[in-house]
Amino acid sequence: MSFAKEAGVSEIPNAPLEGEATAIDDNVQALVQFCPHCGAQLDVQSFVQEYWTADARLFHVWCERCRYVFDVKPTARVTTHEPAHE
Amino acid sequence: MLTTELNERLTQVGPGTPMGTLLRHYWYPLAATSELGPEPIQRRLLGEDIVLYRKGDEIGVIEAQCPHRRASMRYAIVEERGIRCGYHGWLYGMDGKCLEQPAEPADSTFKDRIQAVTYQAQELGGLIFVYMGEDPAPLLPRFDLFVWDNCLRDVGHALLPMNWLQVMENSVDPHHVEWLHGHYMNFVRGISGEAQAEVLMRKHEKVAFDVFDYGIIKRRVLEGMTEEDEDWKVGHPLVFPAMLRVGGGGHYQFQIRVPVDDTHTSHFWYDVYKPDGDYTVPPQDSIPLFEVPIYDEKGDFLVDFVDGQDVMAWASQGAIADRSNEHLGKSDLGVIMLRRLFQEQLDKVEDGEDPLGVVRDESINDCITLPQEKKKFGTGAGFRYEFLTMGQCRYSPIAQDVLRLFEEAEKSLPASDTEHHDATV
Repeated sequence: MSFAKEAGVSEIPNAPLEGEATAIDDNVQALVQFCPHCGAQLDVQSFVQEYWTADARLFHVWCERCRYVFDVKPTARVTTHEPAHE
Repeated sequence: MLTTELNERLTQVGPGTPMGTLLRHYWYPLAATSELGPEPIQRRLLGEDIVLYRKGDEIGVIEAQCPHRRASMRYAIVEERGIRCGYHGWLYGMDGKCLEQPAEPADSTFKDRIQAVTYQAQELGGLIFVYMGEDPAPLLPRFDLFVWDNCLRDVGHALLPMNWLQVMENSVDPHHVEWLHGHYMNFVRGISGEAQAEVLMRKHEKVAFDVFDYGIIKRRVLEGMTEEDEDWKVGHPLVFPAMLRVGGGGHYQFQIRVPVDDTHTSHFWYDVYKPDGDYTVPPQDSIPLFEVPIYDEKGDFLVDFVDGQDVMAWASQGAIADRSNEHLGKSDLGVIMLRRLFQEQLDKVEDGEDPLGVVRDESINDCITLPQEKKKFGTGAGFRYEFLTMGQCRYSPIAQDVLRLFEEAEKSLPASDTEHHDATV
């Protein structure tokens, strides 16, 4: 999957690498399998849609059981700003 | 990307499929009123072949294959009591009950056990609509464009070789306008030395989508404009599940995407020309129907006009777009929202509820007014001019009448209200 590599996001867990044979469908489901709100399994009656914002891979999700709508963003590195020193 | 399984759930429209069941909650136009004369006509809707026939003031709809020996009811005889198969003369009432089997013994009760599948039809605004869902049927929504008076109308049509969903997704993809109908249009027209688009290639700064009672309202801010402009404050809707409302400067249009089967869409461009101003338009004897060509003589897509460009983009995605192999970005959030909305409505139907936009309240159905900006792209007349001369309207048999109507209406307005297009076309 050259798209992921070109986007510089290959370090994201479970992101497909170039030449990797993993089925795309399996990959989508592997990342977001359960609703973080009610815990229900996200099957075909729910909605899991991958999209990208710059180098961030996101999943727009609607849970069929609790009808919650949310985005999931797998995160490899947490960054913050450094507080100003006195 | 979507999973293959979810893509199939969202795109398969045949009987018994989840999406087919959802879509059977709505009425669809299958023909122009002018197309149905004394002979039956055949159409396919949601994967089912059906035949329409006119009996006096009523329109009958029956399965296309005679229940007897499966000959086509397209070649049947329309009679006072119903429709009679041309092959062996079996007669069916408008409710599908078999009334006569001429070759069977006179005392046979066989006909009492034969029931053809029938559906309901209604006429509105010069179109014939059919409902294929369960009873009780919802009301046929009387949207404003179908019921207005003092206006001109025409109907363009093309049978398109792709699934209806990719056509609908285009209606929540505002960014395509500046590229497909702006930059690409001008690339193609530049080669042949044709007039260039100006209004259509304005850059999108911001887009938004709001779900409302009848679908999704699409809003945009173009470069040099603000949220005070009509493109943002008013916008225009995708009418769930299968229509787009679009236009500007007194030109109003429904693009109706009728799901024929999984890989074909019957596309109607229902145009209404109703400028501001003081004028009188006599009622039309009949609303002209014309075919919109989509291929050139070599079999390539015609891409020198707006709607031909759209058709190229929809069709070249494939008969059913492979959404497991796409890469969506933030500019595709309207598309994502529409897919999610379909999935939510599938869930409502599975729970026995009516989906979005089904109308059952007579009190609201005299005329359902939908929002649509007039001063579109900041210049209603300029947008209208490009849409009329670079859109499917150019094939309309009343194109000259339409231009004269706008000229007449413009003369009746005070100079301060008159907006001239400044596009170099």
